[in-house]
Amino acid sequence: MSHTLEVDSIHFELGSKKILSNIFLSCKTNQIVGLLGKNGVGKSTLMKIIFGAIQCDQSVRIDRVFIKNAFKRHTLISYLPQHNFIPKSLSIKNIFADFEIDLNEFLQFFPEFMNREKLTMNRFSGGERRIIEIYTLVKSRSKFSLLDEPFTLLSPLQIENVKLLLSQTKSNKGLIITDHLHQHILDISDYTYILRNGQTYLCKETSEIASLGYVRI
Amino acid sequence: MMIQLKHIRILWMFYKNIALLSILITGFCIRTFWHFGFESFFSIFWAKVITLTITVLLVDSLKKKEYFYYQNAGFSKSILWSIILVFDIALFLSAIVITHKLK
Repeated sequence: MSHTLEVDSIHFELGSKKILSNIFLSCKTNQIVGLLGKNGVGKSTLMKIIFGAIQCDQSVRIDRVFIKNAFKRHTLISYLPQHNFIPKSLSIKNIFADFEIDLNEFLQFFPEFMNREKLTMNRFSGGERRIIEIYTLVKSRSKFSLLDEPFTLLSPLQIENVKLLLSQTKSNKGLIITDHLHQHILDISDYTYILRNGQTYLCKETSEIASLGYVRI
Repeated sequence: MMIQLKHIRILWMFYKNIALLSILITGFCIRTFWHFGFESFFSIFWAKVITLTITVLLVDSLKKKEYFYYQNAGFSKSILWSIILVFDIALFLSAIVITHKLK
């Protein structure tokens, strides 16, 4: 079944500084949507607002139903923050049990974790932890996943695997991804928004992204 | 939200952040209650509340990043703390009542 996430009317200020003011963003099941922008423009803030972790004036709708604090219904939206967030005392087995994820499927996709599923998170490298976190959220029951800098800490080979995972998973989920490794985002996304001066600009071509000053061609 | 085994496991995992310190403090309170009886109850109760508050503030700042794990599992910060604190205070009061009956 197809679902639509729509976000608009977000107004967020820090002190007297307007961070987000004219936002429109939409994502459907079976789509990967890129969100690009320079440092400090509010990409992570926007994701946290959609997830409900930051409160402000907003309108987040799924299938035209207004949603506040989306995370309280974890079947709606999941959110991968920039930093490692899974408690270090948990093993892959524990985590997958909490999120009802098939461990064997994970081991088939990432065989390097074979026979290590009982190790706790503090025994893995930063990149390995990132892969476990991405897999957990992408395979969780949520209809949409917001991924904030998923490629951070990953090696080029790991990035390729994660891109493959995301492309395969989008058949039953909508994904919104932001990362400074913009080429990877452009490779897998159906379309991209540029966040600039508190506003989102829809871009379907790389030339449009360049014209907004985010990249040089 | 229907309570499932996985919810109890997630809540227990969060409670483990304060469990050791909290149980130690409860043990100290019970020992004091055993020696001085019911007249010491209010001092003990406030000692428990104050130390629990300090523990909560400490864990809150140390485990800030981990809240996203619980939020992704469907538990807001306020729900987590409410359930954990009610459980911990209930545990403390039950221990007081049992000690009072045994004495």
